[in-house]
Amino acid sequence: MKNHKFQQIRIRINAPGDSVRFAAETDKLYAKVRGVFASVPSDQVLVGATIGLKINGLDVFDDAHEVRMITCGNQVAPNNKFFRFEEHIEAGGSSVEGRYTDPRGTNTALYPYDVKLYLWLVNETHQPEKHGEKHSEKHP
Amino acid sequence: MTKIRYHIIKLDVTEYEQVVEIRHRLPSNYGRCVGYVVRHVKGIGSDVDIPEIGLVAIEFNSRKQLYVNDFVGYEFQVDQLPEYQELNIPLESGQLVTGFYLDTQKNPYPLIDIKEWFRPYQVAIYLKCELQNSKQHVRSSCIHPVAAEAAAN
Repeated sequence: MKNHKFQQIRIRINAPGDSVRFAAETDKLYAKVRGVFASVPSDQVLVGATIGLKINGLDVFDDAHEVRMITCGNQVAPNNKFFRFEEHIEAGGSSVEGRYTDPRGTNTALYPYDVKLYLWLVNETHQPEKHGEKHSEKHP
Repeated sequence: MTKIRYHIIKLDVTEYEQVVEIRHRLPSNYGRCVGYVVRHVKGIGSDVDIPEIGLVAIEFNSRKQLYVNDFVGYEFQVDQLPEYQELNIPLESGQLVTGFYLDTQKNPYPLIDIKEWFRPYQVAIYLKCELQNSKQHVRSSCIHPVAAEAAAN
């Protein structure tokens, strides 16, 4: 079985200033949520947008957490795009709930739009290595 | 249970060269502050990056420790994921996070009056904090006999 999955959650924003609740469930075949990445169609709707996130009933981000803190530009390599959680956040069919709040943008031509929230699910039980660290082999 | 919380302190800057006081009480179950990042949230509408829009100083544990003295910039476009500056500050329960934010923007249009050019904006301080271990939660619940009895029943 594969060890990684990028699960997508779509949130539809219909009008400026919308505050939308979303709910989903993580894939049962994966043990841990390693990271999260938010994708929006334009930078104009990103400034001031906030997202709250709960996984398995536990607070991950408050409702006032900026979406800009969990996203980045196209020039960033796919492996580095995700905001990584340092602690173990259980997947395996956990509930994912949250609230996305649009910043009340002035450009109405951008609406409606979809926010895509990607959860990086993995099956590894060990902690991901930090940048610059090398694998060390244990010799008997 | 998750042990990390991202605590957000938002500051509104409404005047040119304004000093905004920071006076904020962290939740008592926070045990340690392990990182911070300060960012412009909304308000400034420049089409280019501005390396410095203000200065921030943050003290922990009710002015006992001055740990953060930093400048804040403005990013026109989203580039990298923001990285938290590492800290390692044990937090005393119920103490204040204090300090100030100073607006240091320079007027890019010298011929225009500052009042016409300046726009109010918002800055957010993200504090990455670790929760205390669960033993201390049990002890704090014992202070309230009613809650302790209810838990026992």
